[in-house]
Amino acid sequence: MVKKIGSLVVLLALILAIPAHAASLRLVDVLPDVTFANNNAMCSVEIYADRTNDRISATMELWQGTQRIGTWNDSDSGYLFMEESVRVEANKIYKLVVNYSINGVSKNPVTIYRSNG
Amino acid sequence: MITEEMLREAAHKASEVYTAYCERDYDPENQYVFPQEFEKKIERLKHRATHPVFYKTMHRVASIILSILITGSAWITVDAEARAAVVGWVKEIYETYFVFRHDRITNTATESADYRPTWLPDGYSEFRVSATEARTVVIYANDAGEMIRFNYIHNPDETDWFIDVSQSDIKNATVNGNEADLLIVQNSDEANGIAWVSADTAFYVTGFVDENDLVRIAESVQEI
Repeated sequence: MVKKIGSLVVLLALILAIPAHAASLRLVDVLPDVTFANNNAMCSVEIYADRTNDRISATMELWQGTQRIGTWNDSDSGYLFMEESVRVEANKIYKLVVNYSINGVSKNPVTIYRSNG
Repeated sequence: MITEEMLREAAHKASEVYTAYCERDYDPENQYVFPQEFEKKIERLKHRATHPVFYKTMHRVASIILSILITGSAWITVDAEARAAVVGWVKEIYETYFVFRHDRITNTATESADYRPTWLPDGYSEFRVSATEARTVVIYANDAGEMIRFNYIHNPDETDWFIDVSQSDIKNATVNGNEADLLIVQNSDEANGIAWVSADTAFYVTGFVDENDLVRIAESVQEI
């Protein structure tokens, strides 16, 4: 009986903890960018969370059509800045996708398009 | 039998009677003067009748301009990038984000201005400043470790700034005459935010303060 009540309490705590944790994710802002110089693309993203101890993890991917040109991961607390360079072709449209999570909770990915030429 | 000649004579007499009736109060010394507006209208009609080609061409030119305006307006309404190219900063809602978009229309030779709020709630002081080419972030903190984050983006290049509003109520506000969006969380333990655009710069302030203080901070922002 005690085990059953204990299990229920743990389950209830988990159920309550999920929305409480998710609810603490407020007003995150994301600034992705791709700039081109010659045949190089400089991909960057800045992510700010609300608190200095919010754990931010992100994956940045650069796509040209269906081909993935590059993928990079990083994580930090409170603020995350990633900047990576990769060789690209002229006169093509590139897509930068940023998948990220705050304190382990995934957020909707952010996508931008930029043209090289 | 009534002949055609008789009918004509009768019509002539009737015409004379009608003319005499109409002219019964006619005074040659005191003729009716038409209003100036009427005269102008008649002049315009005469002008139009004597220059038909000119008026037809003007009609066609007006139709083409109207078509361009309608097509352009529809395009700008539908395409956010086109809108951004015309009006600078554009805010749109994409999934759970406010997206502030900006296209390259600013004169890149123009130097970016620096801004700071001139009012903050008691106890806050500047904690950290981070400035890149595009963005400036100033963080203020109080003794309790609560922060107010003042951000602005002045990048003259193409910019997409995503603000996650999935957990917020969005309210309209005004900051020094500019439309603003208050992002309010109904929980005093969480940060609220305010976003607005002014002087070709997008501003965003978040902090553990209520909406009145957010608006007050926003309205106090000045170029330094």
